[in-house]
Amino acid sequence: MIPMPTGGTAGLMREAAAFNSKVAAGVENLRKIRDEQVQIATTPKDEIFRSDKISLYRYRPLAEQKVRTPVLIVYSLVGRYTMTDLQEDRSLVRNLLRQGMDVWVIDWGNASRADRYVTMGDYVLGYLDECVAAVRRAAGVEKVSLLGICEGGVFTLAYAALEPDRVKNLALTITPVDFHADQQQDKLGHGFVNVWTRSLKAQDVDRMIDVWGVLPGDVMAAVFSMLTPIRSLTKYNLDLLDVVDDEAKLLNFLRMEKWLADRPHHAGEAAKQWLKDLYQDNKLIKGELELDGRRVDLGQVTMPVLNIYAQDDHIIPAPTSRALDGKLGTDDYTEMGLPGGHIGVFVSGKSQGIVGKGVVDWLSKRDAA
Amino acid sequence: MATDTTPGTTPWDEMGKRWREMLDQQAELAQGLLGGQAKVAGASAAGPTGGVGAQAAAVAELWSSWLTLGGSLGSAAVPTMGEPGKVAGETLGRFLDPMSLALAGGNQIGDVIRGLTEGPRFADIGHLERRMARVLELWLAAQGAARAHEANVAGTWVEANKRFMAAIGQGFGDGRKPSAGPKEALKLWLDTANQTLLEAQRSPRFLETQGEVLRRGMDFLLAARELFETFIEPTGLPTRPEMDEVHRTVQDLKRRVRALEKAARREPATVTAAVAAAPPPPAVARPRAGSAVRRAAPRRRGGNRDDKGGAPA
Repeated sequence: MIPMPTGGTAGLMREAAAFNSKVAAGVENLRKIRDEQVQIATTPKDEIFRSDKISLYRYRPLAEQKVRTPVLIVYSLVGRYTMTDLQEDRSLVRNLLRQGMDVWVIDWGNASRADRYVTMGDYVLGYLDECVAAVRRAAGVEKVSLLGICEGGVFTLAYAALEPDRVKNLALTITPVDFHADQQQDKLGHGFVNVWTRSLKAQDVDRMIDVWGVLPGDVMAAVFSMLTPIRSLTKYNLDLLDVVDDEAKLLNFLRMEKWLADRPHHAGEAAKQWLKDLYQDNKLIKGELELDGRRVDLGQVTMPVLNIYAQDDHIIPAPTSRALDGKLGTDDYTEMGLPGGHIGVFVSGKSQGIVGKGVVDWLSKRDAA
Repeated sequence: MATDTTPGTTPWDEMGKRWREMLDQQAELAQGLLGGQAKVAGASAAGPTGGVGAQAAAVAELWSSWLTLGGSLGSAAVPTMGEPGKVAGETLGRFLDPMSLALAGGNQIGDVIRGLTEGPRFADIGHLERRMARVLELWLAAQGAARAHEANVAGTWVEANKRFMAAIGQGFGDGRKPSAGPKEALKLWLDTANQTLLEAQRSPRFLETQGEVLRRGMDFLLAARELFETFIEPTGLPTRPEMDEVHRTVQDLKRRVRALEKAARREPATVTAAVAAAPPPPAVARPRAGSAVRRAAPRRRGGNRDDKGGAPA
């Protein structure tokens, strides 16, 4: 924080001295930090399968396996799966492994202009299906449990509706289902992505993909920064100064920055579907979404479903997730509302263990069924 | 090749200079060609009295202008190309030789090939200029949209400042000092600005001006790309639509391969299942598994129903 004199010359000098010490310590910390210390997603894992740019990894166990059915983490295309394993003490992956889960994850890779024509159908019925098949083969199981996050939650939900025989349990986290339900709540900072996307014309989206071939990661980063406009402006001065003299906090800050900077492009046709079919036309909840000519009917989701949402999620407002209740073909539906925001649910110090424990408890009860 | 070592001269400056020189030269040659055409027209219109000699002389002059112009365009198309190998050099020579092209076929084919090898023709020069002007126009429109949006955003900051001053002023208004210290004042400013920006960003006016920046920017980028492609297409470099076509084809092929792989994986299972379900050969005195189950079924199925109904085992 910048020096703020609160009383008299002595007070001013004390505050100035404290401020200078803080800055000096921060500079020294920043000078000492090496790239190796800012690595993220360090939990050991092995690549089991690869298709085009997509890789499927299996994490090495950290404890004796207690839940037989493997769980496959499916992240969004808008960010990177590394958020689930940010650092050792802030890792959903490690929390799951420590409780005896067999954990897998898909890395969607980095889309480029060459991926302009990759559709959501290619991701769901192509790559995801191939990964599920690879998990089933390697683990020797008939079905897998899916853990979808944000857009990855939509992918897993669609997959569960189209291929229910291969999914044992479905855990969704911070997943939008009714893309217009943001209008049900009156929270100023929430749901701006929904508002922004609806403000575009369908031709605007087409034009962006014509020009860039992808939905650039930079564009989405700019939209996300508008969600917290002042925070985006004060991040590298006031916020950084708050943590700069504390090495642990500074490293956490830098790792988060590293994850944020690694924002991939979104494949072109899939981006059109994401923005037009879902954000604008809200086809998923209406039962009108089609992937590769197959209609996604939520009534076909017959396995147990856990729906975890963040109560203060400004990117995926809670009502957009909770709209799933009553739309499925299963009675075994559980909702879990957690304090925190979109990413904070996974990486904040306070939330550590809550999501992991919630998922493991829920899956354990359904493992033998 | 000699290079301009003038400080501050970039390759782009040099290219621009050469391009202007070439355009001047072509304009001069074009003037000659038009003059030649006029003479041919005049000689032809004069009819038999004009004499074959006059017509032949006019055609020869026109042909000469055409050759000169064609040569200048051909050499201008590859001003910085390195010395090619022997075979490539000869091929390139033939490729750029207007005479050999003229002999390659009738006028229509010759025109097409000439257009492909020599780049823009006279009719295209005006067309290109119009396209360049259009790109400039779109760039100006994009800049205008950006300025309009910036003015909108600036208005939001002014509003935030007004609100902040009003909040602070409430403390000063009755002669009291503000109850908050500097840290609190900073927090008040950040909160006020955040609230004001969030409100503004959702307003129809903000979204409209921001959307216009996006739209005008896209229009400009697409037009600029099309203009550049007009220049590079004759060189054989791939254009964006051509690359997109390749990517689309590759993606379609990937889908086909995936579908075939899936079908191939299903096939053995389908065959196995079909074999398992098939009746055994008559010679084998072994009951079918299904038959055995069916024979025992009445009691077991009944038992199962009882189990579901909670009957004791």
